[in-house]
Amino acid sequence: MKKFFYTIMYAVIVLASCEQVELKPYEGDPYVGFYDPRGFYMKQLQSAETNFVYMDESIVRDTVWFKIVAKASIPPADYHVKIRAYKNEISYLTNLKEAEPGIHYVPFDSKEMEDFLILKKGHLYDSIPVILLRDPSLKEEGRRLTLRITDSEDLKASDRLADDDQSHTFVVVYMADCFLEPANWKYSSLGLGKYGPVKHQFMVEQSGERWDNNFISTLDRYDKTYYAFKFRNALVLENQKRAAQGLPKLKEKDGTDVEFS
Amino acid sequence: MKIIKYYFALVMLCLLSACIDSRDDIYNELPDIEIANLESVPSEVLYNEVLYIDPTVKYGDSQDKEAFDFLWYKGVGSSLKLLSEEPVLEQKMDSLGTWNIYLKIIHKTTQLSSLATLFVKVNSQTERGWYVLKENAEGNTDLDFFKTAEDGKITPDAMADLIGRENALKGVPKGIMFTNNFRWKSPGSTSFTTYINTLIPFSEKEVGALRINDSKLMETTDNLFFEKSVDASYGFSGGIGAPQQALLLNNGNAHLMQAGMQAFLPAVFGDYSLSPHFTLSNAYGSYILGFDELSESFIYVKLLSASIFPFPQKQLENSRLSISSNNMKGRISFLENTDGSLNPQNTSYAQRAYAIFHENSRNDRSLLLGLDLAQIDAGQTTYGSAQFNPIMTADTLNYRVYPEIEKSEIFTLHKNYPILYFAYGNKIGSYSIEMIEQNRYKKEILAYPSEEKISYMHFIECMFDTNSFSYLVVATYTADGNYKIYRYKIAGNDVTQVGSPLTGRGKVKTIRYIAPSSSIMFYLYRYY
Repeated sequence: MKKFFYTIMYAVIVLASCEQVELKPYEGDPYVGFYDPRGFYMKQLQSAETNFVYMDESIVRDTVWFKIVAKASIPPADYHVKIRAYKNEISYLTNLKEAEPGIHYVPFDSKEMEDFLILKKGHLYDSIPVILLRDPSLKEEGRRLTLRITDSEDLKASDRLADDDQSHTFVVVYMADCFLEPANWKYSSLGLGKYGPVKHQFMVEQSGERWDNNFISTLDRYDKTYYAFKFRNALVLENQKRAAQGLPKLKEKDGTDVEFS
Repeated sequence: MKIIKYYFALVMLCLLSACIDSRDDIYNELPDIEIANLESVPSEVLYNEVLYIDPTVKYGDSQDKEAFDFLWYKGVGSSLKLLSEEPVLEQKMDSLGTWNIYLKIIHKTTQLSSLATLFVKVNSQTERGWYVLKENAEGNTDLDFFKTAEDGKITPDAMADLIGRENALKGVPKGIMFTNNFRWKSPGSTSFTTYINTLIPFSEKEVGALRINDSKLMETTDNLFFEKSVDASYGFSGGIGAPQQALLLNNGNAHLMQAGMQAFLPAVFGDYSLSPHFTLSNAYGSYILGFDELSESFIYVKLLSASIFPFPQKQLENSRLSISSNNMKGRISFLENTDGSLNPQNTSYAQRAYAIFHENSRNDRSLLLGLDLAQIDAGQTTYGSAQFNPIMTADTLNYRVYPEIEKSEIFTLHKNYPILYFAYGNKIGSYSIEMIEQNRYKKEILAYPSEEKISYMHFIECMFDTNSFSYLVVATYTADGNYKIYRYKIAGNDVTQVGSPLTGRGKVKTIRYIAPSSSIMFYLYRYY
């Protein structure tokens, strides 16, 4: 009987202790960060590249977009996003000079950019642009632009690490108006020999393909064999044509012959 | 207490009486649907055969099929494809591999159902046998196939016109090649299927890729070149299928297709025009030996060659003569390999070739040139590998002495001995290259009825199949558009016909024996 009584008593106590708690909305600061598409917590979250060399001369601007993500809460209004460029010392980035505001890209604090650097109301994800400018200096060499999100009047940057902290995250833009060696040229076993900008241009003209990272990554071994054949034959014809015009063989700027071997 | 007992008894009585079956339409257990008569369904059938399945259905005491719906499905990936809704399945098995067939039977009234599963393997009909490249009645190119069983028994009725009258390759047939490693992206697919056993027949104007297992013509001409001809004008004159690459002549220029590729590469660069005669040695990586009609020189083509290569002037020490293989001022009309060495210093390398060479300045004779095939074998680093002039011997074929050879257009070599067979009209003769003069020439070893003209002759040796053989194969044609294919065993001077002639419609250009063997590629050289 006693056992029965205590069992009933404990049950009453347990049932009486449950109560419904009301969930309150987040009331802290809103945050924003660059979206990490791979979810691997890499430092370079996104990258973009633009090469004006593939575009008509009349095109003097190009825009690349980076995806951003709201953190902690969905914005109840349009929030201004602030980004900044900085010099990133990480060694695996392509060894290019930094891009300069107003010369290679529209400055982020300009009036023009004000309406674009926005995380819109109700959006978990959004995109912000970087407007690149076709400066003549890009014909000589490429530039890079490394970016981080910083605090604005509306939003805090979700990545609070300092620039010199090796774990900080960023995005990067590569820009040029000349042929640059694709990052995967050397390790793709293309069978096309040493890279050179004149060779690159010749290949683009002969094939109608960009021969950039993206294109090279689509090739299998038989595609590469085909292109090796194609370019070898085309180069012989080109040099024959040049000889008939009294011109030397096709060469790089440093005087070495263009060869596909 | 008594009242309680009586009350209890009354309640029990009521309960028990409720359980008594007093109704006629009360629930009875339904029988199972039993599907039978599936044991006789074959576990293997041939491609394009019609599979016939007539199941019996037992439902209690009834076997009335009218009471059921029948649904036949084929498993396709993770989904089901409806094949038929008839009680009897009559299904053409039109794809190779194992079919998972499901039969669902549903009782129309009760909606009870039962399921049966069958596995039927579909085998190729065309993976072993004789492929005959022929000119059809319209002057176009097609293929006949004579199926052969593992024991060598040939089905006499050909599967005719495999490419089909509407799709026949335009123009007269020129040749055929085989590879076990063609790759193809079927329509709608995003990836290539590799290692497809493929025949590559070509006519003077078109080339095709035919999948052997089901005779499907996968691609033709334009799609078989990485860069199609700008004006779509093709002129195919010859080709050779080596283990590592195929070579196809288009307007005299060589296009290569490496094993594993799906198309021919752009032409090998250079100023040349190759003769349609080629040969190989027995080395898997053998260069291709040919003749350039522009420079009038013997040449060789390496794997994925950037150019055509001539041989050096340097003669092997034991060469009996010094005829240069360059600028020879003539042309060849025949080139084929056989066993045996021509270099006493390198007798272990038992591969040679013979070419019939016609000097520009002479029409009273031709030269039978003996060529050392170690020169097209990169593994022969001491006496071969293109370090020397390949010409080792030269026999004069004086037409006054050998008038039948002058009349002949079709030649072949015995693959084990240096015997040259020549065909003229409806007759075949032989020339034993290494015998003494008086015994070497037989102007007639075989003859056919006058209405049969010889269109093809080759020594075909098959050492890669369970059914191995070594035959002299001859095809004739008659004016009424029929062909006959004869096979002969040759033992010394004895020539014995094997089996009955295979017959069909058209004029035979060339023949291939194919079998599903992993070593077939090692014997491709025997066809050249």
